[in-house]
Amino acid sequence: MPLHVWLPIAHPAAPSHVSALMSGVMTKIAVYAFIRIVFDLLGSNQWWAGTVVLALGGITAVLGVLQALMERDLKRLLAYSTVENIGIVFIGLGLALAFRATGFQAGAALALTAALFHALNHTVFKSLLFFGAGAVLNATGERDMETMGGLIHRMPRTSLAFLTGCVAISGLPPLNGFASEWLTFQAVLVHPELPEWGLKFMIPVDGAFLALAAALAAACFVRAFGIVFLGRPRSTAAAQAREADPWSTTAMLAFAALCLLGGLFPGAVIDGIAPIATVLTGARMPAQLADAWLTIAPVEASRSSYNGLLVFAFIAASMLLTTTAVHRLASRAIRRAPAWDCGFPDPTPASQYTATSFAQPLRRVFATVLFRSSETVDMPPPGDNRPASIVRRIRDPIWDLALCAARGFRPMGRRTGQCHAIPDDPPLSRLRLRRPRRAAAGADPVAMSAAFLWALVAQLVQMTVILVLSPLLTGLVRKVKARLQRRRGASLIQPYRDLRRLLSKETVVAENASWLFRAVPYFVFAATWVAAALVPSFAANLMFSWSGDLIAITALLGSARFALALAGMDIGTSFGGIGSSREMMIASLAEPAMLMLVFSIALIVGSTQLSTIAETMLNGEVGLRVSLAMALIALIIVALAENGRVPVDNPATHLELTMVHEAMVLEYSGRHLAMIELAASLKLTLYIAMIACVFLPVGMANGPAQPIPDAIGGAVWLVKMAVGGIALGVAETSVAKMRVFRVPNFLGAALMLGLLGVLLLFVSRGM
Amino acid sequence: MPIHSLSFDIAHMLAGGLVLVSFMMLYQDRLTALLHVLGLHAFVLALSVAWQAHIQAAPHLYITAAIALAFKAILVPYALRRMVFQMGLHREIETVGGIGVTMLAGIALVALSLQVMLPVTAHTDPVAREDIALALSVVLIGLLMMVTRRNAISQVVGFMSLENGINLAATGARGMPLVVEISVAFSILIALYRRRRLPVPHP
Repeated sequence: MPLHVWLPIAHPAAPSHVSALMSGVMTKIAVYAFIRIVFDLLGSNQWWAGTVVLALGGITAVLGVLQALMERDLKRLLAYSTVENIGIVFIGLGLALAFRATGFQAGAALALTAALFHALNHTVFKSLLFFGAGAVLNATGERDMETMGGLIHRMPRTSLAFLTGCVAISGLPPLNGFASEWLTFQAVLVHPELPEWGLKFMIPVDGAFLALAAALAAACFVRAFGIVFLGRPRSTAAAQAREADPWSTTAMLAFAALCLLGGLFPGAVIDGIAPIATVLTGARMPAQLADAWLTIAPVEASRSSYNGLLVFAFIAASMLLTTTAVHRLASRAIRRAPAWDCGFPDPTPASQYTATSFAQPLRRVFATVLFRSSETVDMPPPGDNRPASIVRRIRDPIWDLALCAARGFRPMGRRTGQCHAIPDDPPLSRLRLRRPRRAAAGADPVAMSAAFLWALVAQLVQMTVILVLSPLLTGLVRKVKARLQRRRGASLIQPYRDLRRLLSKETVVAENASWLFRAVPYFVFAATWVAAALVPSFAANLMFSWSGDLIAITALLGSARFALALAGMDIGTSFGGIGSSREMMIASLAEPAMLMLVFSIALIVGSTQLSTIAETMLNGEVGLRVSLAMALIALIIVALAENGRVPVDNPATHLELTMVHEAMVLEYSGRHLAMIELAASLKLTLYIAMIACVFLPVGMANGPAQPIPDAIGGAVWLVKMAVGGIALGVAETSVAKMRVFRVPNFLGAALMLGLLGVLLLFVSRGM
Repeated sequence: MPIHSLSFDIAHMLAGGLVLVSFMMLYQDRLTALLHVLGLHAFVLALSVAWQAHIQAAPHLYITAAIALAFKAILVPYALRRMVFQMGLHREIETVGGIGVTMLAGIALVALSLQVMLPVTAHTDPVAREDIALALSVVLIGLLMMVTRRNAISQVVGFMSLENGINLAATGARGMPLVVEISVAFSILIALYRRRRLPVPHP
């Protein structure tokens, strides 16, 4: 980190295609040199070298993305984001160093592969983003984001490619950024019992840094894309921009295709990296292409797996299905009208959320301490006609200290020839050797195909059941709240009636809405549905549960939110901007908290696979752990925040200034709104099902899929969901909503609890 | 991981719960809510001590638990609460540094105490080890709270939680005589008394 100072100045100075080279390739030379020197020339190293690299990597990632978040200049933003990604690469390298020093070869190979994979991915999407920034610069002559807006109408192909890059760099499935970040997370979780105290602290803390950086990157790129390409043009240059020439757009779209391919077939890339890992660490990750269905799995003891292709196929299929169904069944009437904006649409583009105002909540949360940012209101005295203004000041403390503090870090591991005592096979003895169950091998074919068929049916039944019942849950929560407030309330099935009415109504779309605005509801619904289908409800072993784990579920919900936040900014109203900005602020704290509690559960159970977790919990192998209690509290806080329930956001409010989720979807109507409402119900169901599945798996069917246990499991599940819904209703009635600026403290507490739980686990291990 | 007997699990859960409640204290920024959490803290302590009494078959620890419950969980928070209302104190807690920073420091302290305590007590009973390590972190968080709060009452609360941590450590180690505990509690009471005499900085 301390050596980053030159980068945000140098990158934007070059012409854009050269910046792409600089960021994509030149920074990788540093990584290459580091690997050559540390892994090759220095030979075996001490464990603390890994700690130093880990610390620097983690700090670099978080500070880099925070700087990017505050930046107004598009190319400087990208340059800071390069700093972040190099930080992530160095987290992987640090893990590899640490694992190698402690003699855990398989882990070192995993971490190194993750680092190299991420470096490669970064080359692809950062080049793409710099090309996009160059195209924008050419078209508008501006680098300042505050003068742009609405470019999606003028530059459709560039915006599509840029959007792909944004999704990839934010680490959202099914693109390549998620695959490499997933691998890095797995490398954090795969650790054996490390004897060194420094690593014990550094690895979970780095996990938190990584999670925070990933969530903040999503916020940063929602802001970048939303301000530059969505909304209404903020200057004449932006209003008259022209699409880049076909060569440039082709180049960008080619990179976008690479992003998609890397995300769909990560196994091929991992196998390609394997020889390097073998040379440098003496081990390699298991061959990925050998696996049927192209699933990737981090270590031999297949504790967790992720299948980008299948997730993508699921999303695409369910999106297609719903689009067709909705267009068949629902009213097809559509009307273009002026933006609603709560009845006060303001024609001047200055009324939109700006880049600075989008970053404001996050700036208040993080930058007051880290960058000593300050805001002073400059109020002219009475009689003076000068407009009042807010002066905002941000400093990079490293700049202030820059050259005196800039000391390189070079691990001085001497060749002592002395190794740490290495047990023969440390990691695998600790891992629960449990493959996610697929079709049972070696059984006789008829029985096998019957079992397969039943598993498929169970999966489909679960998907349908969740979809059909989720509005009922919403209805139940509303009913409980109404009864507690001594109202009779609407009937339990009111949400279904609402949906039917919304579907049969005419859809009103604002005049300047882009294609994104119309596609997002279906995508949000599809992503949420797929995520919900991955959570086991009545049976612990669902057929496709191995295609994604808890991290993938979190990231899928992240994709849905990313899309929704973009849609909120598409029309260019002030309320949409408020909603998106606050939602990303909440998400950037809730998502790391979620990941931290995933970590603690994964460390106890030994897998991030929800079905495995449920099975282990079901067998009672775990016992009472205080980390689990902490994880439960954190999960409840996260669930409340993510679903926009009371202490964080009020689902029933109609006071614009306090709305978060509702403000984002303000412009939606008709069938689009129906999809979003259904997705919100699904998400609520998903979270309650997840809490039930992890912390209260009683009654869940275990073992191979069979009708009778599944039916019992289903009945118990219904009871659990009802209890969850009632509890939520009671809790919402008895708690007051927080003011928005207090929410970060609340979510920060969840994050800290998750971190504390992980730390307790890490430290109390093997002592 | 150590043995997974139920008694160990419950002891671990209660001791960890104490740390958790300490963090809840760090998070609170209202004085009355803080006092409620102090009561909860002492209640968890009483449960934990009672459980230790049960598994160590040491009946005198039940007395300690009863004392903790009566005095620390009920009497002291009640008295402090009365003081707050009588003196009309400002009911928002002023902290040095933000809550987030304080909690981060708290996490670092927990890590530190685990790191210091677990290797030192490597060969003893796992129940006692965990208890002592977690108790040390409760003590440190109590100290942190005293350092970061500006209000006298909340400093007293930090002090009380520190004392709860000492109690937890004392019961975890086998055969801590009751006398020692009573003397500790007594000294704390005196400290409390003397603090009460001090002028309150923020009227």
